[in-house]
Amino acid sequence: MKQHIYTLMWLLAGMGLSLQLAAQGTITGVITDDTGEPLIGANVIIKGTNKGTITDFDGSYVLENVEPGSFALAASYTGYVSQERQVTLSDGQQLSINFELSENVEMLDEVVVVGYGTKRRSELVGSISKLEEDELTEVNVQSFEQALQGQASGVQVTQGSGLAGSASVVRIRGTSSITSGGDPLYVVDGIPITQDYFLGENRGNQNNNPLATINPNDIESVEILKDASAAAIYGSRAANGVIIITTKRGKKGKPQFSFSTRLGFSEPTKVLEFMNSEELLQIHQEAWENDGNVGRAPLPVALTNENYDAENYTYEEVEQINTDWFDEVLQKGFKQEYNLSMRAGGDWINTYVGASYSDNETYMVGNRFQRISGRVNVDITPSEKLKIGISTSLAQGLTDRVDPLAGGLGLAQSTALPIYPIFNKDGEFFRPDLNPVARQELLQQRTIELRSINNLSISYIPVPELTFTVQGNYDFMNLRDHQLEDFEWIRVTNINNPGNPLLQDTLGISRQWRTLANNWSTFATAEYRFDKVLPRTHSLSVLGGVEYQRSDLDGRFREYRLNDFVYREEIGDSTILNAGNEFIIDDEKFISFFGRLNYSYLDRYFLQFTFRRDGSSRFGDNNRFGNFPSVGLGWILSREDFWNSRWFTYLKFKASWGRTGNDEIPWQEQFASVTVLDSTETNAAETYNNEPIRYLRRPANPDLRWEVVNTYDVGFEMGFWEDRLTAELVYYYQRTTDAILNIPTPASSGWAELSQARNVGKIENQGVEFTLTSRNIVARDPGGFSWTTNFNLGHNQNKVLEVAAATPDALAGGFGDTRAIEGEALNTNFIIVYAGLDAATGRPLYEEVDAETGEPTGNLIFQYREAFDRQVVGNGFPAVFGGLNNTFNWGRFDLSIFFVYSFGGQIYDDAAKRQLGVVSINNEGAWNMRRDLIGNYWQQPGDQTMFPRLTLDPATYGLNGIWNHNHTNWLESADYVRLRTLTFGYNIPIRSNFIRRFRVYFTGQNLLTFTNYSGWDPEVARERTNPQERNVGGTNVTYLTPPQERVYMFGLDIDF
Amino acid sequence: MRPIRIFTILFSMLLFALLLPSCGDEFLEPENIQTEQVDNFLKTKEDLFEILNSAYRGLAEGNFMGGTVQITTDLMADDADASLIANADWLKHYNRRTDIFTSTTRNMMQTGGTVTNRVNQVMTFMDQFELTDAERNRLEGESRFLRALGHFELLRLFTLPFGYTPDNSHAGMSYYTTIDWGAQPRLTVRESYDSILNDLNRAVELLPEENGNYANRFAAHGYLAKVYFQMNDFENALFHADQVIGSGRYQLDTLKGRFSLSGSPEAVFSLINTTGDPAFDFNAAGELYNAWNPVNTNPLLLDDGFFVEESASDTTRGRLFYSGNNLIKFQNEANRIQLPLVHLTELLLIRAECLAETGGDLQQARDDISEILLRSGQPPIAQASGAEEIIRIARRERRYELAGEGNRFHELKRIAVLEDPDLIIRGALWDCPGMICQFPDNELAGNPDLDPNPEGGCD
Repeated sequence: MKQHIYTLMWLLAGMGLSLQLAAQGTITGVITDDTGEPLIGANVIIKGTNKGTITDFDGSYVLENVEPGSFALAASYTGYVSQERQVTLSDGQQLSINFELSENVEMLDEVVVVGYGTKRRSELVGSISKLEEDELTEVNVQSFEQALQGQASGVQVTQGSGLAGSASVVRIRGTSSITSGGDPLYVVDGIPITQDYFLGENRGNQNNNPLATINPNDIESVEILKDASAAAIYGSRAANGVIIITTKRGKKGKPQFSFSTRLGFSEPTKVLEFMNSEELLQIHQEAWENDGNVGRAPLPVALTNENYDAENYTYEEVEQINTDWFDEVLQKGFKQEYNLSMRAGGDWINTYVGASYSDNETYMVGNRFQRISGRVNVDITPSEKLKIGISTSLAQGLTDRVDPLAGGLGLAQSTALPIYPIFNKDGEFFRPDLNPVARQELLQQRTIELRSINNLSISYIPVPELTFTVQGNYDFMNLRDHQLEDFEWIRVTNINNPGNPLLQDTLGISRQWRTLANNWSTFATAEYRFDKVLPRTHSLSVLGGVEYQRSDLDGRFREYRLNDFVYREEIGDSTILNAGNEFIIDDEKFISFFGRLNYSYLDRYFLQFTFRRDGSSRFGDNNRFGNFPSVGLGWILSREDFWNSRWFTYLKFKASWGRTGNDEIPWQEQFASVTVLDSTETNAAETYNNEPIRYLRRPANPDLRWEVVNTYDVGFEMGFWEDRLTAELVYYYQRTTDAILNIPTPASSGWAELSQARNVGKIENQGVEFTLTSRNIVARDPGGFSWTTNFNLGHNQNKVLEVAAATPDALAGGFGDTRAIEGEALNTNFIIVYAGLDAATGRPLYEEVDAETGEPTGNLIFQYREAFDRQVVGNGFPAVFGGLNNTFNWGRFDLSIFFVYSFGGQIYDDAAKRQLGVVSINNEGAWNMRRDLIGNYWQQPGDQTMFPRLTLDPATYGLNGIWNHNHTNWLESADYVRLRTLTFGYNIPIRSNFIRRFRVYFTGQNLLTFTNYSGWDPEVARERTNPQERNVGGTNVTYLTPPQERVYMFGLDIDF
Repeated sequence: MRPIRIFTILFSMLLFALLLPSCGDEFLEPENIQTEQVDNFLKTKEDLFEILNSAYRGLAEGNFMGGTVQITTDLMADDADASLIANADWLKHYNRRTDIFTSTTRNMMQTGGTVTNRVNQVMTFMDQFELTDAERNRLEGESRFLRALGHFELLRLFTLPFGYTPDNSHAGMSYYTTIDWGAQPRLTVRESYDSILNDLNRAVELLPEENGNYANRFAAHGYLAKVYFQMNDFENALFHADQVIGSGRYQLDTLKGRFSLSGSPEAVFSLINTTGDPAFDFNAAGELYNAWNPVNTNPLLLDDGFFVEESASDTTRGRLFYSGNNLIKFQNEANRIQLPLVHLTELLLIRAECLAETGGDLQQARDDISEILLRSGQPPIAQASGAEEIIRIARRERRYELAGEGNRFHELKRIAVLEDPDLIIRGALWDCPGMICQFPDNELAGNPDLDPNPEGGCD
């Protein structure tokens, strides 16, 4: 009955009437957090009634006209643990009740950063994974995204290699693009940052990592927006998911300093064994004789060919050479890192200052990444109605590079044979192009990236419910790629090109590529929260905003003649060999408006709509603007009256649909492409008969636009035994339409560019994500034993539904024979099936495929035809992947053991076809051979071995050439389980008022790997030249790719 | 009162947001290097001539008639010795085992295609300009000439020869006449040849007699003679060869003069090699020149079988053209040549053979052949020689005069179609599958109607 009266009362109040009831009391009070900071907009309610209010700017509240009696008064605030007090109010009494709320650390009610705001986890209708500071910094990484590996379900992070500056391939819920970028959008403190992996093209056979200059120690949290209802607020840029990075900010209180350092060393996770000099000569001789030759097999031309001004070596001399190139190119890389930060805050100003230096030598001689960075974040609150936030960071990343293919380990395992000396008999370097030691000396590659990310945000809060925010951002990147070539290098590499003008008397040349990226953005939002006005019943918040972004890019190449072989930034104009043209000039513009509406009823039912309209200069003339809506629902069943399980304490159901877009498209293809001989240019390639030429290379496609991804999600969040065990299970289905494909035109149609980007493809990804957190043992008292387990699993199934291509080769992943084929995953291995060998002759056999039906005929053939005989034999995407982390705390000790795993993918070793294929040491381009060939090849009739008989002649294997050797013998399972990190720490007790914490620890990375893969490392991403290759052939295709690092580090954390 | 103010603010924000798109279109106009270039691409009729010039450039590229076509054609026939060759793709041709991943065929196909594509650009954009009749005729005439040439050279390599089926209904290739994106329908060989002939005949009508280094009317006649001859249509081949020879504009050159940097009086149409101004330096036919260059580490050689009928010491030609197994006819001190694609030597030999085949003026045929024989340091043909002997000697002289020019392979196929269905080319039947090149992946990928050619079978 009472309920009804109150309901009626509120109804009347809602109609603008007020009903005065006589003889009632008043309750007032202040709600603060545990530091005494007032909580604005906190909720106070008399339990069992609808009577309540919210706090004002001082955190104070007044509840008037309270009916006397005994009742529970509850205070709550987003992200804080609610409190209840039993109160007895007598007639006309004025009570003062203060609350001090502590922050809620429970997973289910943590505060989560969403696009343009924050939400409580229980309010979310979407899928967002959150990682906090310590999860990011525990593992030693050069770049923060590497720390995401295995930490969030459905987020696949494949680190490229163990090389300094290596970028990771990050895929959220699979790959939803073929030709467009597949990487998520990275937003740092509200700025969608410049994140082009190909700004440095693929120079030195390595992609640029645009994230490497972000200092992981400055990061407070990383939120990964996975589903559409979470990500759609980012509209046309959200289709690959969004990763929101929030940096640390000051906190009220005395200045708190943290210093941390760690020192350690790096080695490869594995060193694959190759034949030594004796073994190689022997195997070569055997192959020579197998081919019907007699006598001693000839030596490689590099040892005998005077054309290359090598000294001639006799066979006997060569037998004495046994260079261990692996010894020469590998080292124990030393690593060191120092971080110092300060957090402080007062009444109106909070500050975070962080500075960091890290120096990561890898196991490869000459390879190193150094980062020096600083950040200042200041929050100023001059009045209750105004908040100003300023963030600025400046970082420099310096990478001393080693070419992963043509230098270092790549060379050591390919064309640098153990029968080659480092130095000739005269003391000069032997063939620098086949000699990683000489190459390292004579050819230096260095990338310097200067990066600054800044923003200024001003919030005006006229009333507690309403917040206006304007934020301006500036992201600046100056990427300089330098290559220094000693004259000796120029001389040797131009032996066959004596006319090259570079071969003048000089100490060498310096090539410099400079790319400047300026990225300005600004957004304004208005958010109105009706949240607590109608306590416990309805709450509503509305956000509206506009965003504007402009970015420009300017690239320039220069070539200098060196007067001394010393590295320097600027070299005088007089020595310019090639003033260079701007190779990129680009000015991009983006404009958008967006809105979000959240409604909840009884804190049980949640509804969210978002909408975004984006316009971008990346989209063709006919399609400049796109709309991206989403809707999501949530229902916390466990808050229903009927729910009374004692152990199943939390259950939430959520479902969402949304449409997002991908704007990482080959947008230049909206324009026609032409070649014109500019009158100011001298380019003989563009003339004929002493006259200039011009032609259209490819027609325009003004219809080009974003890719569309529709995502459907359903999921459950569960809590058991008061959240001792929490779990989340999500199923998603995501369908890309308008996927951009490079639609080929036949070569004979004669366009200079044989493909045009068009929105014609369809791709689907569907999968399941599962996350489990179990606090197995909870410490009864501080210092007691506790054990927590985190487990996550992602399963994704990728399928190309429609490609408008005549053959699988139209959508290729670059070298390595992966293809996007209709009905298959988009990185399908499409190669010849190796069918063992013919025991009588030792020659390999292959499966024949019927040209008409495409089915295997059952015949085995000695000579295959790529046009007909290739088959779909697997793909590189794992079926399941994730991580398992166990954390133990006991007294002052802490131990964490973190495994990552990946099952169900295939790996294609594109170098094995040479390292285990046709023996080739007598010609130019001779290759090393792997030692596991020994004892595993055919020697006499009847042998059934892994590898066929040795030969120097590709025709023996039915090949058309030594490189045309792509078949399933080089395809292996990429399954692995890896001890990603092991950390053991101890807090040293220090009786000091000055030092609050003093922790020492050991951490090891990639200490153990369990895999059957016979090559270097099953976790691999090949460096690529464009997004399509990165999607279709990026992960799980390897070609000389160096293995991951194994790192041992000792660290020290001091807080004072 | 407060909510009203708030709603006013929200409403005005919404209004602002809705207005954005209307001003946005202009704001979003892209600016970059590419858009600037595209804007300036086609402004004057001179630009049209530059596009036409680019088609010639495509023709002369090393990947097409500047070398690769001739080199790979000769590798597939019986006169080349590949024992020193290191280029894996060239070896595929030599072994008659081209596959879909062969760079030479990929490049030939695309570069050959550029010739067609660019002249189609000329013909598409022509109507946008005010042109004189002479300009219009030149643009269209040269375009049609080049388009026919581009298709003809590819067609011979990738499809079975004319005459392989009685009605030539076997598969030919697409004939590109527009600049629409994507494949055009695959034609039969009959239709392909008809298209080629149609373009060349129109070119004869449109082209001027004098046209500098570019194609003139006689170039079109000359190519018509070559095409008809390939078709074993001797009447027509004779007619067109006669038009060129009879014009009196072209004279036989010395043997070495045929391939010089200064050009040759017998060249009807050549690929132009430009030196001097480095800004316009273009070593047309450099690819062909280098392939046979004995200085090269891996030169193409002549097979011993080539010397069965003529050795280096037999004739003046032998001394000038061969050194050991090296073919040195292209080599000169400038290290560069203008490469004639239509020249009097070939046309005289075509005319002689056609006269013999059609029962025409045999004296004229004998005179034509004798002219060639005398120049090469051989006695003239016997006056008693009849048609059969004329044909025999004409074919022999073609083999030696045109060595290295990509003649022999197609010649053998022509003869096989005409009279010798069991003809063997270096150990394999002339029409075994590998005798035509496999379509490269970049051709197959863009053309759903195109099935790969069968492979192998020539071992």
